[in-house]
Amino acid sequence: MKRTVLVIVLGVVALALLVGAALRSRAIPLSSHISYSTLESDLTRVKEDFATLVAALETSWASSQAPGEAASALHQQIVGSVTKLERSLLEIPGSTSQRERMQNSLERLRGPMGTVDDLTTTLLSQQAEYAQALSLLQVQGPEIVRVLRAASFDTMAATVFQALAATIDYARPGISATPGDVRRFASILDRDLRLAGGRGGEAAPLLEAVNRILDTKDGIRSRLDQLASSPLPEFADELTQAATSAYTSAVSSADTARTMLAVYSIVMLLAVGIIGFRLHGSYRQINRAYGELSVLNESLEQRVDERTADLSKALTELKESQVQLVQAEKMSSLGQLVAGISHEINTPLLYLANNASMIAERVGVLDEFVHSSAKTLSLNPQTFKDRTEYQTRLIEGLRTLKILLRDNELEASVEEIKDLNRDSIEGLADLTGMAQSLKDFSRLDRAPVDSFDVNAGIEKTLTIARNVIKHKAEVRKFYGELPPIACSPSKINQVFLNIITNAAQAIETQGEIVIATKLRDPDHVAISITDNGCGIPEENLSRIRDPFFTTKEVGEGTGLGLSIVDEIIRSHGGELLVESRVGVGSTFTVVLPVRQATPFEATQDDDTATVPDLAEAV
Amino acid sequence: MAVAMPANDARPQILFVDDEQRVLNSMRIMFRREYGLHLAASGSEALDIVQRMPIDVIVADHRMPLMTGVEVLTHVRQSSPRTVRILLTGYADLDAVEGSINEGEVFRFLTKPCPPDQLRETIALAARIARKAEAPGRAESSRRPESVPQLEAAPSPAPAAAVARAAPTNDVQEPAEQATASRERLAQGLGIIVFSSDEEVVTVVQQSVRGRLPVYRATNIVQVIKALTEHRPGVLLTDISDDKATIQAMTSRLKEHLPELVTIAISPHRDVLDMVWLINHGQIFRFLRKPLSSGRCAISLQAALKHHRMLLKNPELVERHQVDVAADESGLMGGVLAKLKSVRRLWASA
Repeated sequence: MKRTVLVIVLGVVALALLVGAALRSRAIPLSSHISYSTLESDLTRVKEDFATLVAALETSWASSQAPGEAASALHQQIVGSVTKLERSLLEIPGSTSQRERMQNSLERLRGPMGTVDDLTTTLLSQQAEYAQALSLLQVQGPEIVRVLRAASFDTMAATVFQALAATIDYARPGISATPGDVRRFASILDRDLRLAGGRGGEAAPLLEAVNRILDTKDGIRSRLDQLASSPLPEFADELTQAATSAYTSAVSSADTARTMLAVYSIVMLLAVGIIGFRLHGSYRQINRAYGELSVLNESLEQRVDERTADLSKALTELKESQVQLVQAEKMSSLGQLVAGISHEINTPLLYLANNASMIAERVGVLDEFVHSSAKTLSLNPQTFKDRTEYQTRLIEGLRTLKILLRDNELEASVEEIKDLNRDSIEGLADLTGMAQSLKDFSRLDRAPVDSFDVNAGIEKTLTIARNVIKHKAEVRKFYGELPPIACSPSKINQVFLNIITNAAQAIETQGEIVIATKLRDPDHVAISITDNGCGIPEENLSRIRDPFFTTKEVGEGTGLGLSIVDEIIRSHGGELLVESRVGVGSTFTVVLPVRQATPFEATQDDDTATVPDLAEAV
Repeated sequence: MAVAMPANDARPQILFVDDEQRVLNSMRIMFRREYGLHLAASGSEALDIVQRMPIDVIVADHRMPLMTGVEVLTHVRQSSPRTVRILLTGYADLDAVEGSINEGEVFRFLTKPCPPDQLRETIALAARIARKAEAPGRAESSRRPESVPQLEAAPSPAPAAAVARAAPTNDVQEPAEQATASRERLAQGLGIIVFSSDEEVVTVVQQSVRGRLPVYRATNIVQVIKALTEHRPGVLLTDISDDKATIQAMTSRLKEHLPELVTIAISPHRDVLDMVWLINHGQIFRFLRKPLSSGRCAISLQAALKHHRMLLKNPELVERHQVDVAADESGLMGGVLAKLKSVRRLWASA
């Protein structure tokens, strides 16, 4: 998920980069190049034209000629060029700040341009007038002097002459003659003309020309200087720089973008190459895996068969080991039971054998005594000739009997025989009871019955377990009146035996086991078995029914006892309740239904019928 | 219940312990004429009697409330070692048998019902042996509980002049010349035969003795005889896992002819019948289960060596390990028998 998001983001970034670079690297249009070169050449021409114009004006001034048509054309050309600049400028690429800079430069250029325009216009006309005036003086002056002289206006002619001379001298550019003489002669001439009263009017245009020269010479000079010092070229250069910088930066940024695009393309190509290579690798792997898969697929069926065979074998083994485990548990409790019962049987057998042998021994001695007494008693006085002899024999016989009686402790022997015999009879009764209990406890027929006497079953169980309990506990019994219940007697006895044995084992040295039975409700009997032994810790209470749960030493218990008990009770539709407190004791209550809902199946020693669900535990 | 007899009773004193009154009745009537009889219905009563008067033979039931027969006999072994101990039980469970070997060190293990003749014979033999050990002059020392000192206890009182091996030979405080002689003699008995084809057993034994005692390895009976002839070891560890019948027979024969050789049996199985047989016919001193732990092995070996030296020092006690001679069913032991007799002569002359 994260990876997908990352890939998508990377893709978008790569695409944006590509678009950005492509946009930036877009070719600058031809018109822009042309505009730039037009601007540049226009500006250059403006500068050149300006310089030429200034030079032309200076030259014409220096030669006192009127500036030619060329100067006027230059003037027009400059004005035209500058007017064109704005249009070109608009097409030059560049950033806003660069554009501003160009616009500002153009604005600045416009100031001096206006000045230059005005100055040139003035100069062109003034210079022309000046040249015309001077030419008038030079061409017509001598003629007029001659005319005046001819008309005998000699004074005036002299004045005119002097004024001409002074003015021409003054008018020569480069000569800084003081206009004082000229003014003086002009004023004299003016006075003379007025005095002449209309005569010598021929000299009036001359005066006019002189005054004109006087009026304009200094103005032209200063205007020429003003024009020469105009900042127009600097501002033109400035504008050129601004335009060039805008143009070059635009061009270089486009170049950078193109380089970037090229690099990007190379990187992308490389990436595509790597992806391709890896795809190729993956493809090969897939191919190989596919090959393997095909092989596997072919053997799969066989392997499934094999696994199925293995599993069913394992299942069979598991079932067998379940049966074995349950058997082991039976053998384990049976082992303890057999130990107890063996002892219970062998002890009477020991003293029965001893007693029999001793009774035989004692009877042997008694036999001798009885024979002796019979012999003595059978002495018949009739058979004796002599009464004394009879008496002697009688006394002898009695003495023998007395000796026998005394030496063999016959009276004690008789007592002993009685004791031994009494013990033997009691022992035999014990053995008989044990044999009967054994028979009843685990009836070989094992058929479920409809009328099992629970109290009697407990009694039988107690007989069987006597040896296990008697060293540990006093048993107190509180039997209630119970109806016969339907159950499998051997299994229910097994339950009682297991719980009672556990109770005895829970008692460490000497304790008490209380067994109480009652009819809990018309349909259920409850049998509670309480011990005052060690108790079960709370954390174990929930686990005691689990198969294999045991707190006994390894080898002493399989941990299946209570799980089998629980299973038996549940298979009877009953329940096992356990209460326990550590150090106080435990109560196991078995609740069994009086009637069974469904008749029992024949459970002829079928161990699997009571196998708890071991599969969960295994 | 205890039946006290006159203190000056010269007859052997027998104590029966059983929680079944009828057994006690029967025993009382059976034996009261030949022996001084004492009856106890529980272990504590029995121990009380043993504390108060010399008892030659004690016959105890195993399954009794509060204190088992093995526990009673173990206590008696400690408080009155001269008392010959017999376990008579209605059921030979494993704990009883193993405990009666390793803890109770019993003379016989009898199971109920025991034929009256066998009972009589066994008790008569036990009484005879007890009384024989009670030979004049030795009575006091043998009655002293655990008269043999610890193997590795206090430092030797005399300079280690005649210490033959690196083995610890600290012994009873005796006059110096006697001590030297005794040490020389005892030093001979400080070796161990390991009769086993199991390498692990040999390894564990060697670990247990940590090079302080010679260990002789034997894998067949001929090698056992050879080791006995050449080295006179004190302890035989015999592995009864393989060829059980032969080895059991050999164990019995060895004990019959060389009773001072202390036997430790090793087996992976705890077969009650085998173990009972080995008590009654082989008088084995210890029974160890495989796999051997070197700790248990070391403790057992130390106890066995101590016991061996006690037997050497008090030859009259050897009688106490008289075996119930088993019929030689296999016939395998014929050749061995002659050899054992020559070993016996060799040892006797040493």
